[in-house]
Amino acid sequence: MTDTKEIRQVAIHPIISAVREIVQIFDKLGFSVADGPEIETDYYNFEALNFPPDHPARDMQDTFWLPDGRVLRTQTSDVQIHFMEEHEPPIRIIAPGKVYRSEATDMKHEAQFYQFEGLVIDEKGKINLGHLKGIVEHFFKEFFGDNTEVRMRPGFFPFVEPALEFDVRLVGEGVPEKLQGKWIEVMGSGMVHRNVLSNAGLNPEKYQGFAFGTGIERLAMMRWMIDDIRNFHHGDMRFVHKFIAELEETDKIKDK
Amino acid sequence: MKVSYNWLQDYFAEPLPSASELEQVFMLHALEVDGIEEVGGDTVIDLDVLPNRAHDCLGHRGVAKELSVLLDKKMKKDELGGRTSKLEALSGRSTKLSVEVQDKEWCPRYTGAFIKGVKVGESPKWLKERLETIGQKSINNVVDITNYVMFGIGQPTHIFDADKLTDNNGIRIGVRKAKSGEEITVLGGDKYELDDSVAVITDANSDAPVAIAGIKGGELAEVSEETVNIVVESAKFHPIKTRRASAKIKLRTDAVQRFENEIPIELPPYGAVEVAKLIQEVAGGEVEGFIDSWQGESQEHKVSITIEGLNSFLGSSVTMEQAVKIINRFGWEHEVNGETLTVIPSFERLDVRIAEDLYEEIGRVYGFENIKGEMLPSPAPEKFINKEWAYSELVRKIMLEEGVTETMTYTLTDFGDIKLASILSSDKDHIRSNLRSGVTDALERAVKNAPLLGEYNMIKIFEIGRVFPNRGEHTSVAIGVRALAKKKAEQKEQEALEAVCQALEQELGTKLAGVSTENGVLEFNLSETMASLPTPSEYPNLPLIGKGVRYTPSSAYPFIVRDIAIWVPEGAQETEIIDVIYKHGSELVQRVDKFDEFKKGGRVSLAYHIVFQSQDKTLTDDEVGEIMQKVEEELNNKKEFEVR
Repeated sequence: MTDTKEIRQVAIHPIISAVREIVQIFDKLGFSVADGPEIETDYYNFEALNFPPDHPARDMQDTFWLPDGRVLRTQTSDVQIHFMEEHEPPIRIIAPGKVYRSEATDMKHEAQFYQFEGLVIDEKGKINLGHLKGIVEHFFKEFFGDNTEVRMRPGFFPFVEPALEFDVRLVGEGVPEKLQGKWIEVMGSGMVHRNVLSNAGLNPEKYQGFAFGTGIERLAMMRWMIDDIRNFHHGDMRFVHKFIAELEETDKIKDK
Repeated sequence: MKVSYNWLQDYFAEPLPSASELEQVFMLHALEVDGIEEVGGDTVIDLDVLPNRAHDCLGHRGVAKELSVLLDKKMKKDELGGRTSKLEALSGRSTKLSVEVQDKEWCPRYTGAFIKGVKVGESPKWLKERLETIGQKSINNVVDITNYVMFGIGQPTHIFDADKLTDNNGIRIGVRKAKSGEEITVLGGDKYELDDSVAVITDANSDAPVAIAGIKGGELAEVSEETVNIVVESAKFHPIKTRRASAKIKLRTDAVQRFENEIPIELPPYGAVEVAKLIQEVAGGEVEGFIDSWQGESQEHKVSITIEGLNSFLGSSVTMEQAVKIINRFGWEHEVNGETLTVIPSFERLDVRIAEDLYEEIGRVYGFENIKGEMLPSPAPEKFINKEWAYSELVRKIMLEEGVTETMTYTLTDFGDIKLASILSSDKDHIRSNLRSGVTDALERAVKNAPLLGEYNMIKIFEIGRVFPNRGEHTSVAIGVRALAKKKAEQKEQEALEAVCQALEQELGTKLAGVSTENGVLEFNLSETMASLPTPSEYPNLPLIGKGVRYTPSSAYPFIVRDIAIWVPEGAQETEIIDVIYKHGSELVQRVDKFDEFKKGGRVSLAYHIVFQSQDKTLTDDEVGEIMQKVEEELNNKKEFEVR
């Protein structure tokens, strides 16, 4: 057998592959990666994001509380505030990371999952809703393929005004029957609320921009037809071994 | 919010488009639709009304108004039509009834009516139908009217039996904070102990509580079939206080949902008037008069925008003429002054206060589908490398090169330095303080499934993730190894960990920080390790899973491993062997892994592990034996092939 392989098959965790691909897609559009803590204060997780204390909007995110009043962050949007506090616009970042929701788990719900957040801020007039739509459409076509349709519709998140939801629909050949032609809600977004800009120390008369965020497991489930969200985090290596990618052999590996 | 199609139709002279067409209109321009269901001769549309639209769309009137705007159809009736908050009807002030609000913050407005001579009984068919369609039980005509009004205009109301209240030169209604330990039995018979975080409605002449303010009515003044005279309550309660009170006594009602989201200060009199009007229609009686505790003036909230501001925000090209046309559909007062458009939204739209709110209103009617997607302007801001992601990826690269596979385990566990205050279950009440425990579990399970992973010598896995020891959150890496053969297992594991460790230190160019090793699992602190290192100039190039990969769930049934060794002529293709295995084993073959290869005497010896497993049953040795026999026969028939 003279089988001189240049590549080696390796198992990649689908979440990591998805994050890596997201980082690459956005890198080409000039986005850098930012991050934040998973244990967060009420201020960064809620208040600075325009969720007033005791507001019913907080019910939209079942929260794990720590005894000291901090939370396991319910969304990667906390990174928006941290980043804006420390950087002057123009800002173009994505923030992938783990988030937590205190809800009963089933095939579609998990108490921990990954999200990524996107944030673009620039001087007023430079960035508008059309850019948000353009960026999101571009991303989904890159991630799911050209046969992806995207629609934007009204939603509600306190930290954006207006808030928009994005649905995607996969059409054409090669799309599994289960997904064929169905609109699936995949992303929340909107123009950053003036209160959020102010809270992070930016002047809302001077700056404007948009933010978007999505659950990465959901994207991975659609892309690779994964039936149960609980697969991702329960440490079963059989799951990871279903996802094979090709590692380019370096000289170092060949020596082994 | 469950909405009846027929109920919505009541607001329009023209027939509405079909329910599925309405679904599209709602989805694309207003509210998410959770489902559509046929109920009796009606269709129920389940709308997901979020807090921004809870002030107006938790009632059919608000939803109808929305349709009127979006479909550009006039409403034939509108309970909230007109902007006056001092309703004409309220000028008929009651001489029988009065209200004393002790806590005006808790209850900024209390309106009511006294109606005498009603006849409580069964509701008429139309009323029963409307309520039952949206899942509400019919109780009696008087109570049903209060529900009809709540699901109609969003104003919760309540009816007291006036003859069960103390008449001392008239009936006095009071609103005050509950006393600590005060008890009340609510409708339905449940008893609640209250404190001063809850407010009560009282029969002020006796000070007895007759309702939990904003939450639920009490048994004391409950309407029954004998009721003749009634007091109508239509009030506004403080959103946060109501929400906290409801959470405190653990009692949520449809009324709470509306009050906690805040109802407009202008709304209560509309509720009182609607209830009074409809009760006279279905239960008879005569309105003696109304009361109102509020002396304030309705505030106008002007919102100004410019067309340039609108378009540079939405990325649209809306003209002033188009914008004005859209505002006209809402029926909102407005003024155009050059390029500036000033709008006074109707009182129930508490969500329209700033320019961006108005951009949204105009944008969603104009249609977000009409906004063209654009790429971001150049040049992009200067990019930077995220140190944590860069080093995490570098560690992954080294791991892949060392044959170590990534796993992910739960952050919520049954151990750790931090215990959660709110928990899902007792085995997930802590946040992990290390990765070791999760990785050890994953290792044990992987050992049991080793052949399915193609591993026959050693399992090697790792996880990168945040851990939460007392001293603070950091990113940790844990690497776990298990030798599959008992012989010298510990030594092999130690050597494997040392090799990985060496590779890491060599490539990272530093000693690993915070290393601990226990039972074949090595953990180190990545945050601390990379702290002294420079930020790399780029991310490592690592592979992606292709778009075409389709996941198949792991089988719940046991697997069987068989080996085959075979002599083949030099230059033979391995696929010749593998094809034969798959041909006879078909979908039962999970994997084929080569474990031996050597040349001797012009021939090549090859050996494979074959893993058999069924998705829907336990395979027997006989079934697998039969397949193996066929495989061997066919291979032996190939020229110069010889199964050993």
